[in-house]
Amino acid sequence: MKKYISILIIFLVSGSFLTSCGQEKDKSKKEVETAVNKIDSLKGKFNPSAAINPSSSHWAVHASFDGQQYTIDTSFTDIRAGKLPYIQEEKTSLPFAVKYYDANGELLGQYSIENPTSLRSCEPGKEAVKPGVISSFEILLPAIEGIQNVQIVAGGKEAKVFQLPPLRREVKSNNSNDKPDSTNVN
Amino acid sequence: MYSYQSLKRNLFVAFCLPLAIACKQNPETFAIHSPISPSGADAVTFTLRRIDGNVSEVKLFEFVANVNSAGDLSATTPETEIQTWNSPSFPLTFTRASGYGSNKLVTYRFQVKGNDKTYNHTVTFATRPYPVANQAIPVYVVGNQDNVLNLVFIPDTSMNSRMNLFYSSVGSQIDSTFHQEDWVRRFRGSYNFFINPVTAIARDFDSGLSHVLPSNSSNLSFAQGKVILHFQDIRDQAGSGYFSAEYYVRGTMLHESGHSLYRLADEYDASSASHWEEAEFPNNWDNKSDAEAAAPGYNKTASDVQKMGTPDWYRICNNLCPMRSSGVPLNNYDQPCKTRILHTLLQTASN
Repeated sequence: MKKYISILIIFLVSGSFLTSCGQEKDKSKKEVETAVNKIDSLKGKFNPSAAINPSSSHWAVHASFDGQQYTIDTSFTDIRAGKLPYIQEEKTSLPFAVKYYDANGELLGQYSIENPTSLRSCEPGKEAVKPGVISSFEILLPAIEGIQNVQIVAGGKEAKVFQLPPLRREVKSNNSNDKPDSTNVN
Repeated sequence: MYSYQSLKRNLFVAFCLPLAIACKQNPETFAIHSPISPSGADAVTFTLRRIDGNVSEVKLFEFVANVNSAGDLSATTPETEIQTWNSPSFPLTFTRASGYGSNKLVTYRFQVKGNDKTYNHTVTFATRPYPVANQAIPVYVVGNQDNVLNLVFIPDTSMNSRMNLFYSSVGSQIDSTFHQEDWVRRFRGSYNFFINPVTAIARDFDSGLSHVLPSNSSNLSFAQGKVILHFQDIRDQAGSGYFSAEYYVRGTMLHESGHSLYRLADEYDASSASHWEEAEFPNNWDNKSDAEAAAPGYNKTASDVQKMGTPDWYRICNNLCPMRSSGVPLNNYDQPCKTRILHTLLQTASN
């Protein structure tokens, strides 16, 4: 029943845009322009500041995987500029989900990504995924108050639950270039 | 019971259908500058190209600010008109021969008039060297990092002796990949492009080794896309949020950015491909009947549904969609991917 209602809504609303070829083009163009204008009105201005804005930042927590289980290093947490780069999902879709809860166990948000311990290569006919290759990675969380517990779900199963320690919101500037394989080319 | 969430989703699909089959805006143009990451002494050429439509007048404006090591701006000049074209013949170019000097953030704006419409291309770039240490260098940015998608181009160490090639390749990727795909170009105001000041090492997938991330990787985690451009003959891979690509490939760039920017799944026919079904606006379906039911919503029919791989996955996009192919050639995204892209752009802008 739900499926039929879905199709009906799509047809009814879409049909209003498709009454004739000429009107279709005109209305479609207007709808595209509406979407473009909507995005333009929301996109704001580029901000070059290196300072951490507490209302727009995210945390990184170090994690490792030994092939069997995940270990979280909660002694290291890093606050970084910019909002969490992942879209929140009502239902997670990708194999590695991160769910975060408040002290009462209420779900504050969740997102999913490709498994961070895997390598992937897109080439038809060849091996495409090497699982468990990456042993060290980061878990990103929005820098918001109230996150108490974090749950990792890998392949549909709970893989780890950890408690986020109290964090200090401070400006963190990483001006080091301490990896021998990296070169500053600026 | 018909949920509010379902209603919202279907209204969005219905809204996006006419968008996805939309005709081009009239007029439609796009702007670029060259070099994409100029030194303070480099002359900079601004170019406006026309895709479609009648343009009666174009004006070019600019303003310049000093940027310090903290990324703070000062001494911002008033916006100044620097060129006007009446009844223009495209492409339009204007060259600032003297360069802008070091530690500058330059913003230019093409104001385009035609068919009783007026719109703007407003683009900001930094001159090199960029004083904000170990931060991604803005080379073509259009909005706040929190409200648009961000893609960082990172030089592989194989580019160390070829940095001019790297810079020109980044300009080409913006101009000839992202501004050539119809749907991405239409929403060009949704993408910030950066260059990373620190190299990484792209590794061959068959080596079993992951990419060596740049030492400033912690400063790049805001970006949805991070690509290591290289001058090597390797089997490219993705991992840790980074993907690699030869400096000249366009199809691969669209395919991999399809994964990282919009969470589009693979559409090629291989059991080893990465398939999943997004809860909202997927481009893969895990059963045929759902794909067939979704097809009319994308102006397709059940006969457009194609099986992929084993176990069974299904797609509706045509064979040329970038999520089905990669490599050098560039093709346009098909309807389901377009809808997913628009959904992502709107979600990002409104979050």
